[in-house]
Amino acid sequence: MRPDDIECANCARLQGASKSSREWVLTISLALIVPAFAITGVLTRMYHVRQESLAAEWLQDGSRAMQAGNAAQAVAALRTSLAYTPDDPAAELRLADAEMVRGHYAEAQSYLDAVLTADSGNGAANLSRARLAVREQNIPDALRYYHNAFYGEWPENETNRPLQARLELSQFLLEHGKNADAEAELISLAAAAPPNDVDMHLRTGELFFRAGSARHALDEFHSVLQTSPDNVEALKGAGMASLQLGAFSDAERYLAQAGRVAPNNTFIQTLLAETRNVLEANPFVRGLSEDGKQRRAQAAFLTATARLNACAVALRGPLGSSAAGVPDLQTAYARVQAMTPLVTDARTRTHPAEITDVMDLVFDIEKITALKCGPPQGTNLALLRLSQAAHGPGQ
Amino acid sequence: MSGPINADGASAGGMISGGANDDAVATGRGSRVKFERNRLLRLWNAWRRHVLTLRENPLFLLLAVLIGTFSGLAVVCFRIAIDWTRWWMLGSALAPPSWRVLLSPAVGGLVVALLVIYLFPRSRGSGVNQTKAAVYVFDGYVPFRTVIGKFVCCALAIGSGHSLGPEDPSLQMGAGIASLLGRRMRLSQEKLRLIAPVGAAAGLAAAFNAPIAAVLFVIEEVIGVWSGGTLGAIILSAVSSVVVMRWFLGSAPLFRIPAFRLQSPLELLAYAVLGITGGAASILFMRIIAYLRPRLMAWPRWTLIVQPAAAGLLIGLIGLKLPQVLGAGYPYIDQALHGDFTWRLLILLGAAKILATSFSFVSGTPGGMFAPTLFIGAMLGGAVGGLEQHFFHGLAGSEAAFALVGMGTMFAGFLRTPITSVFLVVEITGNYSIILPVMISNMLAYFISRRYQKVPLFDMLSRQDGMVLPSLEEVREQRVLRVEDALPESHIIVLAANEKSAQALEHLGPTTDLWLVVAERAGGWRLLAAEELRRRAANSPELTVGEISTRGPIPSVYPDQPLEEALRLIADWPLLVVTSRVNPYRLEGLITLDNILHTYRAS
Repeated sequence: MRPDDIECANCARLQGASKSSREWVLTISLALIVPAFAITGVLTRMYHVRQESLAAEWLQDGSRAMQAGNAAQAVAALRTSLAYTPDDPAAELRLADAEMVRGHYAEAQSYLDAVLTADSGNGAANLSRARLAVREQNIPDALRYYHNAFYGEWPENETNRPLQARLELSQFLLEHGKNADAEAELISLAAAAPPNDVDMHLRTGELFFRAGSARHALDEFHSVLQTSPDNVEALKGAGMASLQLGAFSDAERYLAQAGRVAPNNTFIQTLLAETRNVLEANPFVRGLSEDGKQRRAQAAFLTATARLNACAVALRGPLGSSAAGVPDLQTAYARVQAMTPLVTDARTRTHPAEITDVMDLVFDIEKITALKCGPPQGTNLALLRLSQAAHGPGQ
Repeated sequence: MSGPINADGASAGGMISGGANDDAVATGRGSRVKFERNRLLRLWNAWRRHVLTLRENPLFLLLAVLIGTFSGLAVVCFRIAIDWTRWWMLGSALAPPSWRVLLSPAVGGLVVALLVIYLFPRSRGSGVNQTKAAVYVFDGYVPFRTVIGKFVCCALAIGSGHSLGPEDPSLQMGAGIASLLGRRMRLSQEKLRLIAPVGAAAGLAAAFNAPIAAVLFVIEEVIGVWSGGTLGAIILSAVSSVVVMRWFLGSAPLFRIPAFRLQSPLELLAYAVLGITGGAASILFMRIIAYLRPRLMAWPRWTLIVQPAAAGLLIGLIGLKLPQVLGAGYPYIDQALHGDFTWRLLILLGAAKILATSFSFVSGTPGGMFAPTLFIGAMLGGAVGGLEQHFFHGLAGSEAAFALVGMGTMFAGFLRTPITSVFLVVEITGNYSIILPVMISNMLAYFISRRYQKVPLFDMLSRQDGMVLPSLEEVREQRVLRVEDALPESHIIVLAANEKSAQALEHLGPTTDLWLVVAERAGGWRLLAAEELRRRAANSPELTVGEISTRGPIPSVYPDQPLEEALRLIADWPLLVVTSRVNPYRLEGLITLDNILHTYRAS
């Protein structure tokens, strides 16, 4: 039996009081909910505003510390920022960067994974995660995160970052000998890069060159030169690419201009000298007289023969004596001996095709000696470059 | 109460009386007011008719929602108050400046001590025990002043850097709000006793953002029984408080949980090691409190003012090297869960937190032990994981996973609520795959803690406070005596109702039994006095047993039923029949009051 069902005078009075009390307490309590919610709402709003402002302040402090190169201080500040806005991807990303600078890669990974769990398409987080994967030599993860990075979402003011990601991926692929994959990425990158982005085109050109695609590299350097004609790096790159492609005159032109812009750059000066050597040693230059061609071919023959002898001596002993242990050199020597009587003025003048035979032998000697005795110098180097232009570097 | 008013009529009257425009407008306004007033009255009447006349049980459920709502609001404000206090006293940095670290807990402790001594004396001590006391001793009474006291003192203590948590005060605030509402609504005594746990669940659920764990904790530690009516109210209040809390503070869990995956079953061995370590740490923590608290309580009364300040100073000194131990420490648990600390630092932090929390708690500073327990568990777990990875690479998973499991392990070992500890971790991670390591580790910690520390924490605290509250762990572990335990091994003589009395007498032989059992055709059992059978058989041997006066049907029990049930049923029956559950016609034995009492005495 419920207490309010008890039938007695006193109980009835109590029952009435109880009911009336309930009515009022329940009504007042329900009515109090509205102001209680309102007050709590105001307090919460103030609290969140304060939290956000603290988070922003600490984020700024952390960013400043990072810029000043103080990663430890940056980590402390950014962690504080994160304590106020635990899911702020900006703070988490910066914290991950700071942790990476400190060498705390596991912590960095944990923050990046937190960002990616919430937003798997976050471009910046994917890029950083890819860098971690590169550090761990985890190629499948690196590829996955790099791809996620440049197909991911980026802030509007960071449109360049996806391209940066692609550039990094290309570099990573090149470092792992995946030149064809790298070239494919670079082709996409070159198409997407804004024409006025000098740096991007320069780096793309360099990577094309490293990937063995001198033609694409030259295109990239050209596009840089259209925007800034005196860009030394572009001129140098174009020169090297032209040299690779066998366009020695163009190479000389680019390198000469680069030398004028940067006269103290020894690399460019050396390369220019090499290019000029090539031009001077090349018997196939258009417009050269037959006599000139013959002279150059003869000179090349003598230079190559001397290099062959020097190489044989350095390895085993003079050719034709006990150097039988180096068969390639012996074969080349035999061909030299067979060719020597033929290298006469009359024959080469009346049979221009003989020049080609002579130069073929010269190129073979330069290649073999480069292989057996290391990279050549001076005219031999010029002849080697000519051989590479004639047959390709791999042959 | 006003009678019904015809709103349409009033409106029409206004139209008729409108001669001039102004008058018409004024009259129109008047009728509009009347109309609105009328509508409100009708609403009020409907409200009174449908809601206020609710019987007590549905009203109790409605009240549970109300309690949950107010408790949720209180917990939101409490959490805000703690953070504001922290910003004000320690600053907004995670690693505050040294002078603040040193001074803030001491100053906070002094102010709190003054408040507790002069304004809110009942704010000291464990909220869980005070809620239990309300249930078992004070008819559900929790003074509202204690709610205010807990709010103010705990916000100040935790915010100033004392190593305590907000969950236990939240639980008590919920209980206090519930008690106030229940008293004001003049609920029956039975309901009033139950109202405090309803509020406690609401407070704890909002504090943890984990309604399941809160409900389980209240059942496991405060009321100890699964009763349908109470459970409904507890769940309703917990859910409504969590909804309110999430409305204001968002639904993000307490911690950002790292991904967890059990790589190999061998990892479970590593978690078993964590369970053993957690059990040992729980015992150490409990023993420190068991040793220090009564001694400090025995000090002269004036020292109560300086004890929290002195504890604060000691915590400040620890905080100079390890600022992570200040306050509840949630951000650092989060960091441990993300592998931000080395295992060496994790060990240091775990040990320092045990000391700091012991100082805070034994000095009488109000605040809870839940958050510190989770902190210690996370650090300890991370440390064990780190160590195992260091020495047995490949056996253990990530440190973060160990930190996560460690929280539950310490909860099970120290607070001795094994079921809550498992569900708490599953609920805050939202990851079911963690349940295996959590169960293994938690149960090991729980059993080790029980084996070497007989009295659970909350019971120990209540006994130190001079109150003996029922130990729910003891209740849980108490062996339930069953009917089969009292069943004597004796030859039972069962007579058939159609048996001739002379024949029955032959069956009876030289038995000394006073009562015989007669099996009825319909399947029941009746009692026949042996003396009566002998007397009637002597006079009329052809009389069937069924025709002789018998008592019955006798209540029957099953062997697996609690003995208490048999005691209740036996009343003035000389014996009860014990039948088989598989075959109710098969008699397993007879049980007398003597058998029952003997079994109770022997137990």
